[in-house]
Order: sequence, then structure tokens, then C-alpha cells
Amino acid sequence: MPVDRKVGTTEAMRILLVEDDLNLAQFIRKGLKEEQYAVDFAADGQQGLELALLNPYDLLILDIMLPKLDGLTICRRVRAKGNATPVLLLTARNTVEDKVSGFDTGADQFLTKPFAFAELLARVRALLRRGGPQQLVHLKAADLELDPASHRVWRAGQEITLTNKEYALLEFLLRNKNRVLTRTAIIEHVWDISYDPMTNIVDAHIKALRAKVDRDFSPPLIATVRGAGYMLEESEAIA
Amino acid sequence: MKSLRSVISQSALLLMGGLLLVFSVLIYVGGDALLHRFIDGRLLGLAETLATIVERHPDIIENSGDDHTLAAEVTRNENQRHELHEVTHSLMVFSPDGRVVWKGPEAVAQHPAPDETVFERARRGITVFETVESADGKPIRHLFLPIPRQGQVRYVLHAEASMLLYQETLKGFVILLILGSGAVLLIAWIGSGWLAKKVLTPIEVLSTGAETMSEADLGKRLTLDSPYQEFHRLTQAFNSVMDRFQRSGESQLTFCDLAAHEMQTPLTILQGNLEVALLKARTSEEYREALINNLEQVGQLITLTRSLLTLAKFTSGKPPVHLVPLALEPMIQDMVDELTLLADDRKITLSFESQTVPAVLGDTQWLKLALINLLDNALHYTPSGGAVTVRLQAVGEEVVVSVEDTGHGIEPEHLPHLFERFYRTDWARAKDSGGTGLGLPIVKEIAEAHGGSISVTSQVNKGSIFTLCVPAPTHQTVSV
Repeated sequence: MPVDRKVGTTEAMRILLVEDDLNLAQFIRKGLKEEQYAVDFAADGQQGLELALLNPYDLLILDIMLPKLDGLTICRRVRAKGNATPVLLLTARNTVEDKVSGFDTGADQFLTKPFAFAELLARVRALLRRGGPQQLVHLKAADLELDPASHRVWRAGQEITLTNKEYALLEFLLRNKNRVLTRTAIIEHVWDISYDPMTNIVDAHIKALRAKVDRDFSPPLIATVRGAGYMLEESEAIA
Repeated sequence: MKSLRSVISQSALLLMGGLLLVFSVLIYVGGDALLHRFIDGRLLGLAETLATIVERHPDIIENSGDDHTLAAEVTRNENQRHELHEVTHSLMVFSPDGRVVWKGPEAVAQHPAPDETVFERARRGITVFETVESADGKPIRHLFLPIPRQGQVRYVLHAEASMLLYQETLKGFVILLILGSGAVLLIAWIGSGWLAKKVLTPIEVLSTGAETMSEADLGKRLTLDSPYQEFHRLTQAFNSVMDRFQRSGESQLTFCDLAAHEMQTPLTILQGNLEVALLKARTSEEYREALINNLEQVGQLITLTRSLLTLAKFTSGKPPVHLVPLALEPMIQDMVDELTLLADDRKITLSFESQTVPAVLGDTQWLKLALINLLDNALHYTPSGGAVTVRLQAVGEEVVVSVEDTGHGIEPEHLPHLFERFYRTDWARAKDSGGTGLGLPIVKEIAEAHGGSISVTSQVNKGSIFTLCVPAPTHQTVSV
């Protein structure tokens, strides 16, 4: 089994991914590595458990249904060894029972397939944040600045007051700078509910956010990506 | 396996036979006792009368007067005289040591002669009854009655009566009982067979009918020609199960069909986009654009899948709701606050009118989903300048949330289907208006999983009111 390691930076967060679907594993590994995480990978539960007990990880991402040993069991065994590494469970079954038994085993977060990569990243960041203060650094794009600790936002040094939803939306956009976010992903993350809006609820909130963040400033940061969704664009970052 | 028919017949016969046996034994024993009592009573009655006379007029015996004198002396009326006559002419009087001191004209010496033990007991003042067969084999009932005088047994009076009548009566009884029992058992056997047939024939008809139903023939229903309501209930119950089975089978088919259809469009676009993008070498900007185009389609597929999973969760077995006492007012207020932005954007007045209501038993996450679907729906169908009003009130044991809009309303023919999966009032515009067509069905499942309901009233060009009812046990109070 391949064991990937983000080489070089010693500060790189080390994540163990245990997932038997190789296509899914490939895109998660690729995406996480591009976000500067070091990713180890195991394709079955047995190997996953061995790696989890062998190396100090900052986060475990476990699929629930795995060959040899399921994700819940890995989670339980790791916890039984007194290991408090955050665990993110990936599940195809979005049932309450799963969630209950998952939390019983000491898992910290759940993500139901199919998920948007932006959502996976958001969960990963949220879990890693507990491990250290580095996730609480200010988020920036051009002259827009957001402080996750105090929930305050500034543009060109001028403080902007946002509603809770607007703030959550902006933070999601900022954390996924230069990445296209679909309306589906935005609804699921910002509203924390999976439903299919008939209305343009997302667009209405983007409009309101733009009025506060973009209208009186230049350049506009929140871009509409036709046929897909929205993106917070920091122009020089686009290669 | 045992046949119910033979079990019914056997049970009926056994039960009847048992009852008849007990009945016959009781009749026989009771009849025997009654007859004995009757004969003995009669003998004793007469003997005692005679004994009184003998006691009063010992000279009758001592002078060896004839029986006529005795009978005449004793009786005052003709009937009794006749009866006495029969007894007295076989009457004998013994001395305590067994010697005959007087006898009636027709009295014959007893064969065999009375036992010495009889006299021994009589001497002690005990009245003795015994049945002895006479020389010609006829059973005779004998009575020895001691007649005391001055504290001593002076004579022993002997009377006898034929037991022939008694014996014949008992014999008749037995014959009657046997014949009667036989007849009753025969009737019971025939009757139980008839009853079993009556009960079992319709069941056999139903079984045969059910057996001949095949999977391909779900439309077939059982018919039964029986005047009994029990069988009609069974038939109806079976048929209604079949109805539901057929409907669910059909709706399953329709559901799969519709779900596949919903997926076809985004999948076709996805495939087309990808194929076109790969037709020739392109700049990275072009690739980027092609990939971005696909995101929306994938988003639609994900939303559809999530909705299908949600429905599946509610329809397969136990609904996934975790009920806790819940205050709806703040939840709705939050939601309305959030959606005000959207309403303002569309120039719709969104207002919330709330009464003080008790806490409902609900699942926060699911009720939120139900309410946001209703509100989203109302906002979507309300034109600019209209109004959406959310009302919260307590009605009896329920908390009622109604969402009223001033939209174009829904034509009456659509109303009954509004909560069906993938149902759309306007198929042509479905593409533009978005939505999977699963929003309202999900609301319905959520309402029902809470033991509540969802209903709608609508007037074309005036608007619609969706009403969600959630049970609120009265002992719960709002604790915010």
C-alpha cells in the first residue's frame, strides 16, 4: 500500500485517510495535498488501524464501511489506546443511528457521501483547529480581512457589520479562496441543512453580502461563476 | 398437518359423547335412587300404619283374625283399603325369634327363609330392608319392621313388594339412554360435518384464489359468495392488502422511473460537457470552464440523491426522528429573520404571527427542514409585492403552523397530488423553477413521522395556505 507523505515542511499537518474506494481516496489525497497537508493512506481497516496506532496523526479520516475492519471499530480501538486524535467519519448512510453509534465510539465529525470537497476541507480545518491556534489566524483576500476568533470583518481597514448568515457565508468563501463553491455546497455548509431550494436564497444572501463587502470597494471579490456558483477571487492567485 | 375439518368433527363427537355419558350415569343413578326411595317409602308407610294397629289391637294377631278384618280395621277410605289389601294379604307377623305368628291369606313363606341376622337386627329395633330374588327369579323387596311393646320388640312385621316394575323401569331407562345417545351422537356428527363444511368451504375458496394469484397478476382480487360477514371481512382485508401491495409496487415503479428521469438530464449534460471538452486539445482556461459547467449538474445530482435518501429513511421502517420537547416559536422566528433578506429582495412582505403555544414533541433538524421547505415554497410562488404570513397557534392537542401566501394559487385538480413524489403542477416550467419535486413529499413524511399532518387549501389567484400540525402533549410547557 502506498504511504504518501507531504515532504519538506515539518509543520505540515499529518492526516491518515482510510478509504477503500480508490477513486474517492485519490481525489481526497490530491485535494488535501494541494492544501499542504501530509496524507497517509490505507485502503483497508486492518492496515488503517496499524498506521493509526503507529504514527502520531493530527487527524484520522475513516470511511465507515471498509474491508477487514470497519471505521467505527478503528475509531473505538484508537480511543481505547487513549489516543485522542480527532476523527472524521465518512459515511454513505446518513442515518441518525449511524451518528449515534459513531459518537459513541468517540468520533468527532461526520460527513455523508456525496460531499463537496470544500465541505470536507471545512470539517478538516474545524477539527484541526482544536489541535492548535493556527486555524484562528485572520483570513485575508486582497484588502478584506476576517477574524475567526472575534467574528469581525474589515475591508480596506473599515469594519463591516454582517449578520450571522452573511458572516458564515463569507468565512466559507474565504476559506475556499479561488475555489468554485456550488449553491448546493453553500446551502449544506452555511445553512447546515440539505434541501433543495426553489428560491434563490443563496443568491439573495450573496447579493446582500456583496452590498456590504464589495459595492463600495474595489476590486469586487465575490465572483459569480456562471452555471456553477460563487467564488471569492483574489486575482493574483489565479494562475 | 391436521385437517381442521376432522378436528371439528372429532371435537364435536368427543364433547357430545362425554356429555351424554355423564348425563346418562346421572339419570341412571338418580332414577335408581328415586325408585328405591319410592318403593321403600311406600312399604314403610303401610307397614308403620299396620304396626300401629297391631300395637293397639294385639288381639287381632293373637286371635288369628283374617286379613279382611285387619284391612277393614285399618282403613277408612276405599282407595286406601284397596291398596292395603294388596299389601296385607302378603303380610306376615313374626315373633322376635323368627316364628310366624300371623300371616295374610296370600303370604307365602319366604324363600329362602329370612336370615337369622335379620331378626337379630330387628330385635335391636332396627328396620331392615332387603331385596331377595323369589323362587321364580323375581326380585322382591322385603321389609322387617320391629313392633315394640313396653320397651321390648314384641313382633316383627314383614311386608313385601315386587321390584319387577322398578327393574323394568330401569331397564327401559338404559335402553332409552342408549338409543337417545346414539341418535344425538349421529346428529352431532352430521351437524359438525355440516358446520365444518360451512366454515371451511369459503376458506378453501379463498386459499385457492390466493394461490392462483401470481406476481404478474396483482390486479386480480378475491371474490366470495358467502352470506357471512366474517368471510367478507377476511376477503376485504385480503383484497385491501393486495390493493396496498399493488399500489406500493406501482408507486415504486413510478418512483424509480421518475427518479431515473430526474437524473437523466444532469447526467446527459455532464457526459456531453466532458465529451465535448475532450474532443480536442484546449487551453487550461477552456478546461476550467468545462469543469465548472459540470459542477452545477453534479450539485443537482447530489441534491436529488440527498432528497431520495431522506425519503428512503422515512419510508423504510422506523422514521429517523428523535423527539424531544421543542419550542417552535424561536425556531420559526430565526428562520423568518433569515429569510427576510430573501423576501425583501423579492419585494415580498414576510411576517410572523405567533400565539403562546405549548412545546411540541419534535425533532429540531427535521422540523427545520419541513418548515424551510414550506417557507421556500411560499416565497417561490409569491410574486413581487405579495405577502407570506407564518402563523403559529395552538389548536387542541396540536400546534399548528400555517404558511399563507398571496401567490397564484393551485388549481383544485392538483391539490390531491401535491404531496406525491416528483409531482409538479407545471411540468413545462419545472426546469426553470428548479426543485426536485421532493420538497413537499419530504414535508409530508416529516409531519407524519411526528404523528402530525400537512394539508393545503388554495384559491386560484388568491393564494395557498399550507398547514403543518404537530402533536403537543398538554403537560409539556414551553421552556425557552
